[in-house]
Order: sequence, then structure tokens, then C-alpha cells
Amino acid sequence: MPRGMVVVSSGEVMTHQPLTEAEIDELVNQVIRGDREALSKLFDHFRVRLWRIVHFRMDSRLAGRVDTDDVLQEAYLAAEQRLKHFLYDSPQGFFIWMRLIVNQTLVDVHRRHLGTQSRSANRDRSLQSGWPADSTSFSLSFHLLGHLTSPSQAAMRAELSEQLNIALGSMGDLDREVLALRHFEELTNHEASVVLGLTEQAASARYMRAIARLKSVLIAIPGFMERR
Amino acid sequence: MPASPPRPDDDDSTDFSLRVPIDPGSDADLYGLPTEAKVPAACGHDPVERMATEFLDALRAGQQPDIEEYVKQLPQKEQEIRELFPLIASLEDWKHDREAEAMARDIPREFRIERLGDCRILREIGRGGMGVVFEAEQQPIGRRVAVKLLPRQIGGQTSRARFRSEAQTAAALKHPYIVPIYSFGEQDGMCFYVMQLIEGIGLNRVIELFRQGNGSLTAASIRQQFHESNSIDPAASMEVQKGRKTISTIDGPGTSARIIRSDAWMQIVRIALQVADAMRYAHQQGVLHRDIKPANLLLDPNGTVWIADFGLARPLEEGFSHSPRVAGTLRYMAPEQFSGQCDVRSDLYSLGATLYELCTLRPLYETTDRRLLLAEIQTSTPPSPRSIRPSIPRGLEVIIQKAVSREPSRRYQTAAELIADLKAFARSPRRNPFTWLKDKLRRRSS
Repeated sequence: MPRGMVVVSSGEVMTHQPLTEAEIDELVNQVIRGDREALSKLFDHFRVRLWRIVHFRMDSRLAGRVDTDDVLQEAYLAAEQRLKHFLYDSPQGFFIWMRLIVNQTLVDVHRRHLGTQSRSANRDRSLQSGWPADSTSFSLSFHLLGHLTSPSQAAMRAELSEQLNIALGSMGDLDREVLALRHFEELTNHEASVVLGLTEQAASARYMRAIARLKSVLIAIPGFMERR
Repeated sequence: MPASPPRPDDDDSTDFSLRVPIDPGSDADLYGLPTEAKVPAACGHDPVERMATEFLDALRAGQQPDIEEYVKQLPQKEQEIRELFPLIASLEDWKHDREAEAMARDIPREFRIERLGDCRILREIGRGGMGVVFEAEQQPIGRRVAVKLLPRQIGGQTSRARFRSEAQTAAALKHPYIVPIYSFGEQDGMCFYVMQLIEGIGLNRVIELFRQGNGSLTAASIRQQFHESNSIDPAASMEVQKGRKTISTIDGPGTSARIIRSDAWMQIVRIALQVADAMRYAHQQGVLHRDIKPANLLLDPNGTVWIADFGLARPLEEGFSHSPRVAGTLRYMAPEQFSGQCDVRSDLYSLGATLYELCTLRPLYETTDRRLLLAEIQTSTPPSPRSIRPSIPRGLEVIIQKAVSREPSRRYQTAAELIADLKAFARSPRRNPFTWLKDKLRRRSS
């Protein structure tokens, strides 16, 4: 039996296949012409990826106070407003543009809730990713510790967290950023290279270097790698 | 719908670091953007990075990539691959755990919903990856119903479209052992559908109760379990209490009758027959369930088993993580489903895995680690049912083992085949299974 075979009572057949490359291209063309419906379809298509970015970048102090969903909703409204600027903002592509808007929205959310305590407030935005280096470092540390959940591990957490922050701090900004993009935001090498302003070749070499570097810092933390 | 021209608005509340002057007169007909797919992928990349990307893609697709394969392809980089790939896999795992946790948290612990469509919500009776189920009263006609809600937090428009289309699929199925769907609605951006309220409990709960040492379940205890399931609103549960009294008075003397006993193999066979019969019907209609598991099979106080979530089977977790890596759903999945293949035989496998657990009170594969579970489903052989509980009849064991063969061609090919064997077993449970299997072969060849 073919996989997609379904019988629908009303005769209305709905396809729920993910969009193809060609469909995405077509929708992007419509977005360029200012079509809001196309924007909503594309937003929906990339929603999981955008959700992942918010999930990774959101300051842990906001957990329980800010809903990931609300951030995405706000970003969507911002995208609608900036629709006509799309090509100027981000000629590299739709996803990169949406990512930019989501990140910008999240920076605003952080400022609103954390004020001057916000790690993204009043800082130089040295990195192309739009996030200050120490913000990425905190996010990485938080998510790398995520797997230590048993009670005995939880006791170790504070101490490990401290060590991990120091270890991550010893890595270069760009190394941390490329790890965040490739692993936690699940960007492709191409996307990461666009975001970081590197050639694809440089981005790929940078990524392997960063993984090797991460390995060496994690191994140096007693028991971190075995603690699963 | 024609697109309305974008309105210039420069009072953006968000401040963008990248501001480019807009030429208002510009009306160039730009068509498309350069896409990465058109560039020969990965030229000049670090070759290990190329492998790592493939490895990552496989992990994210829920597969079990073997590091050795990558070593073989790039032997000169063996050391680097062996050193770094396990860390890459761990990073993926950690991220996945965090994300799964966050998604569960995003669904509110309590829903303050009073009404959905024409239904007055009474209490929450269950939730899963797919949504939240409430007991409700459909007011115009005053009947008790179950309402399944897709919370706003889950997925976007695509998920809603899918939820709707799948409700339609399920609504088209009319069978005495399939939970009927009455209607579908949308409210405040949430979708829900209304279905028959089954005052029963999932077989997962039955298994759990047996495991805790309850040897049997009666109609009354099933009803009690149903009413005690997770009520949120004290007022509503009071009402349910009242309702319960009425039910038990109608219930009469039959109440204490045992509906199922953990060692009553014929009762288990009867359950299997009901489910298989519903599956045969659905398969004839061209509908696969895709997610048969104990929690989707509800046992009611009359001893009838109902299949829930028919046609809703593509779990919505998929929409979250782009992969089927959620252990609760994985456990009963046939090995081929991990590579995206699913047919009638995959559904029958899942029923087999459910029967295995119902008979042995142990899951077919026990590990709770997602990665290990995937590997076990694809490579290891579970212990035979009788090695766990020797009292299981040989004939039943043979049926279960055939149903859960790893190789689809060795399983039951249709629900009808399974039904035939279950019936043959039920007619003469003590007979050596190989005799009736031989009988069958003889009949077939003659």
C-alpha cells in the first residue's frame, strides 16, 4: 500500500508533505512581491528550526516567564512589518532573514525582561551572529549541562557549570559561535558561513577545529564525558 | 488570495542593526534568490567535515549511523573520526533531551478551557505527544464525549492541517472496535475533535496494574481507574463522582465479573482478535494506523477493546524534531519504520509487540535509552515469551513471535492471516502449534 494513501470523507484531499525546494523558491518569490500568505507558509515551514534557535538562545533566567511560542509570534509580526525590506536585509536567503528577525526579537525580549542585566544589552555586537560572545558561551554551557539530570548529577551541576564556563571561555569566540550554529541551531555549513561571513571552506575547517577544541576542554573536566 | 502591497512603515518596534535605504521607486521584478543547492555542495570542504555533516544528518533523521562506515570511507582520517564523531553524537543526544523537555514544558500543565465548540469541558483525562484529551459534555444533546485538543504550543499551520486531515481520515472509519469521531472544530487557533467517550483504560495501564500484582481487572475496577484518571477541576470531578454512582446502580450484578486476568490467555486472544479485526477493516479502507501501542488500545468495562487515534498516527513529535526519536512511540515501531517505510505489516508488528508485553508484562525491548532502543529494535532478538512466563501457551507464543519478526516478509502479511491463526489457536489452545500450522500448510497446498 502506498505510504500516503488515505481516505478522506469529505473528498477534500489535503497533502501534508513538507515543501519541496521548488515550492520554497516559489514562495520566496511571492514574499519578495510582498505576499503575506506566502510569508506565513514559509514561516510555518521553518518554524521548527526557528523554535530551536529561540530555545537555544533564550536566557535560562527567562524560563517559565517567556513562552518560546510568544517569541515566535512576535518575530512573525516583525517579519510581516519588514516584509518589503526582506531583500535589502538579507539577500542571502529567506531562512537567514527569518533567523535575523527571530534573533533581533529575542534580543528585545531579553532587554524587556532583564533590562541592563541582559547579556545582550548595551554590548558590542562583535559577532555576525548578532549575539555577543559571552551570551553564546552561557547558552552553550547551559545546554551542554542539560544531560546531567539525575539527583547526584544535579549536585555536581553547579561545580561542573563553573568549570565548563571557564573551559568554554578558553575557546575562541568564533569556535564557540560555529558550534552553536552547527549543533544547537542546526544550521548547514553554508548557512553558518553566511552568518559568520566566512567562505564555506573556512567555515567547514573552523567547525572541525571547534569540535576538536571542545573535545579537549570537555575531557579536561574530570568526569564530564562519562557522566551520562 | 492576491497579495496586498506591503505598506511602508518605518516605525518598526524592533531595531535592526542592518538598515539599508529603501528606494521607494524601485519596482524591479526580482525573481528568486541564489540558493545553496545550486552550488556544487561541499566543494573544498574539509573532508572530515563533509563526513561529519552526513553523520549529523543521519543522526537527525533518527538513524543509527555506524562510525566504522565513515572510517572505511576516509581511512586516512581514522583517528580524527574516532575521536570526534562520538562527541558529535553526544552533543546531538544532549540537545535532543533538552528540546524534548522544553516541548513538554511548553504545553501548559493545566488548561483553563471551559468550552470547545458546543462542548463543556469537564476534566482532562489524558495527554500524549499528540495532544490533550478531555472529558466533556456535548451540550445541545447532553451526551458525554471525549475531546482531543491540539494545543497551540504544538506545531504550526502544517500540524493543524495534518491534525484536521487525520481527523477526517479517522472519521471515515466505521467499525465496532474503532473509536468513532463525531466532529472537528477550531477555536482560538486551536484544533480539536470530538469523539465517543470510552470509559476505559489503555492497555498500558492494564499492563502496569498487572505488573503491580493485580491479577485481574473487573468492570468496576476499570471504571474506577477511568474516573480516577487525572482530574483537574474539583467541581467537574464532583460531577463525575455523581455520574459514577448512577453508573454503578445500573451496573447491577455483572460488576464483579472479571474482564481480564493476566494469565487468562483466551481473554488476551479475544483482545488480539478485536484489534486485528479493526485493523483488517482499516487496512481494507487504505488506512494504516502507524502507531499501534498499548496506550492506543482502550479496554472498556464490557471487555471491548477500542483502537484510538486511528489515522492520526504520524506522531506530531515528528513535526518538532524532524525525527521519530521519541522513546514512548518508538518502542512498538517496526524496524523498517525508522527508514520511513510503513505498511500493513508494520501495523501488525506493533500489535505483536503489544501482545508480547500484555502476555509477558515486559516490553519487547526494555531499554529506556533512545539510542540503545533503536539499535535493539534493529539488531537484537528479544527473549521468547515463554522464557519469561512459561505458562504462556506454545501456540500463542508462536503467533506473537511471528508477528514481531524483524524481517517483514516473515511476519503476518495481512491482518486476516493473523486472525486465522488466532482463531485456530482459540479452537484448540492445547494443541501443539506446529500441528495446526502444518494443517494450514496442508490445506493451502491441497
